[in-house]
This record gives sequence, structure tokens and C-alpha cells, in this order.
Amino acid sequence: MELVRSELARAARTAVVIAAVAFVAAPLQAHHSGAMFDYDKSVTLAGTVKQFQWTNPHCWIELSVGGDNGAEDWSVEMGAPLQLYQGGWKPGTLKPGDEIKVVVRPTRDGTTKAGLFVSATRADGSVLGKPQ
Amino acid sequence: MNARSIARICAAAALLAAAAVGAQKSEQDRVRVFASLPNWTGYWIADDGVENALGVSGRTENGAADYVKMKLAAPLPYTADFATKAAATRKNSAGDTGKECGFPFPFMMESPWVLQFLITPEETDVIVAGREIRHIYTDGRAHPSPDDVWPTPWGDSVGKWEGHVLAVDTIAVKSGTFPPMVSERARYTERIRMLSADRIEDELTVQDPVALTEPWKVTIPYQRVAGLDRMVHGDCNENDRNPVVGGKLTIAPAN
Repeated sequence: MELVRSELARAARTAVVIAAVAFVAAPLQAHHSGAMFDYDKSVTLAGTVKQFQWTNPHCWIELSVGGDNGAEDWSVEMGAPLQLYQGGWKPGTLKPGDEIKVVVRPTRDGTTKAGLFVSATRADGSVLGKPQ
Repeated sequence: MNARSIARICAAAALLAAAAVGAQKSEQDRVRVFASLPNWTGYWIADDGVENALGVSGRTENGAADYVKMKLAAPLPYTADFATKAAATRKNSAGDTGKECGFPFPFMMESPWVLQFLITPEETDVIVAGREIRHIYTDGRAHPSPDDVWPTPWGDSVGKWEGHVLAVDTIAVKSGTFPPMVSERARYTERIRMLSADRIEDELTVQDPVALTEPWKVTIPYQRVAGLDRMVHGDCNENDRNPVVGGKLTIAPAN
């Protein structure tokens, strides 16, 4: 009987711990959940910068990417200006017409031409921003 | 001008002189107190393997999977009743379509944003890049009476300096969904101190007769943010390109 009571008490404690850990997921994201991005995949986009949005809550690179079916426009989500600034980026780091390669985590649905920024290099191979 | 008038003028002059001396002494006292306070200038980020690991993407390498490492997300010693209530609250929250727009206390002390300690003799302010601000009054005042205090996301904080340790007492924090999720009767005590030129720590104890079976303690370590020469603030509304469409977060085209 003592054993059963002990097991029940342990199960109750475990339930409380699980309940507590379950709070961790959604509300802690930077502005919004990152669940839309596939963290197991990387895509390298080579293209021309159309626009660099230095804005809160996210900065964005709008990239025209050449492909077999013609150019596609991709949106690359980045962090907030603070995080870019900390990473050595400035509003003038990219200008329309710049040729760059960007590695992204693509969206899970695959239909939206968008991804989460991982890294970027210029045409000469130099890395944009400070080494992370 | 008779003798009585002259006497009045002299008395008034003496009072003015005494007031000036008092003000000067008070100002000297303030300068002396200011000089005794520690220098925590600079920008700081929680050194928890999550918030200090955000790169230019603003996210950690493994996304939400990394958030279990957070100090404030550690399991709490919940009462059975509050565990049930908290689980229900979590179930009813927005989940993966939720967005944050500012952080409450104590989560603001371990948020994705850098923070700054602005120390004066009268108060120490914690200024977070997301524009959250805590006013910790160190002028000897007490909390407002229970009838005159109401819960806010940041609570009501008073503190005192024990040497170079800032001891803080906070009450009246509004309940929410950010960890540690506790009740509005929670009392938060902190001991914030500089360990070295590049390290600060905040020892936080949460006591809550409603939600917790025992005091819950956590230490949030901070590291100095190198190379940041100014505060760069956040703003969740400027260019929000992540609308919820059909119950899912999406990415809107650029304007």
C-alpha cells in the first residue's frame, strides 16, 4: 500500500512538472512563433536584393531569385534591428541591386516563397555582418 | 524705515540663507550617496544559452525547442489546484499563432532584448530594449497600501542598497501566460549584484500562497553585450508582416 501511495505521489509530482514545462512553448518567441519554419532544412538563395527593410519587429530582405521558370521573389525574415545591429548589420548594409547568397530555413508549407535568415554572403564570398 | 522693518528684513534674509545652506547640504548628500552606488552602465543580456544565443535571425538554432533551457521556464512547485488552472490557461492561449508585444515582470528580466540598469540615488530603472521599464524606488518608500495598489504587468517595486547589492521587493504583478505563471498574490524578492566587470546576476525568489507549495528560486545571470554603442529599441507594430490567416501565422508580401 505504501508503495502504491508513493507511486501515486511520484506520478502527481511528475504531472505537475510536465504541466509546468508545457508552458514553455509559444509565448516566448521573438514577436511570433517560429513554428512556420522548418529548422531541419536549409535552402541557399542566390539573387538580387530588391529591398532591405530595416524595420521592427523584423527586418526583411526581399530577394529576386533566378530560376528555371523565371525569377521568383523571396521574403527573408530576420531579427529585429537590435539583433541585426548587434550582429554588425546597419541599415545601409544592403542596397537594391546587390547580388547576394542567403541561406534560409524555408517555410514548412513550401508554398510561400519565404524563409528564416541563417547567413548571407556577397558575390565575392565575404560574409555579411560579424561572425556569429 | 524703522527698526521693526529692518528686523523683519534681517530675519527673512537669515531664513533664505539657512534654506540655501540646507539645499546645498542636501545636494551634497545626494552627490555623496550617488558616489557610493555601483556602476552598472552598459547593456546586458541574460546568459542562459537562449537569449544570448539569438543571432541575426532573432531565433536560436533549434527554434522553440531551445526555450526549455530558460531559467524562468524551469518547473515550479505548483499546488495541485494551481497546476490544473495553469494547464487550462495554457491550453486556452493562442499557441503557435500567438504574438508577443512587450514582456511583463519577471520575464522582462530574461527576455530576448538587451537591458540597461539606470542607477540614481532615488531609484534604479531597468530599461529593456522592448521598451519595458521597471522603476525600483530606493528612496525609502514602502509599497502603496493594499487598497491603493493594483496589478500591472510590471508590478510595484521598492528596493534598498545593501552595500553594492540591490535588494528588491515586488508585488502586484498581473497574472499572465509568461513564465513563471503564478498568481497575483505572488511576492518577488531579488538580490541583484555585479560579480565582475562583465557579469551581473539576479537572484529571484517567488513566494505565492496560492500557486506554490514552497518558495521558488532562480538565478538569472547576465553578460555584458560587447560592441553595442546605443540602445536600439523594438516596436511590434511598425511593420508587422506576420498576419494570422485561416488560423495560421503567415508571411505577407512586402509593401
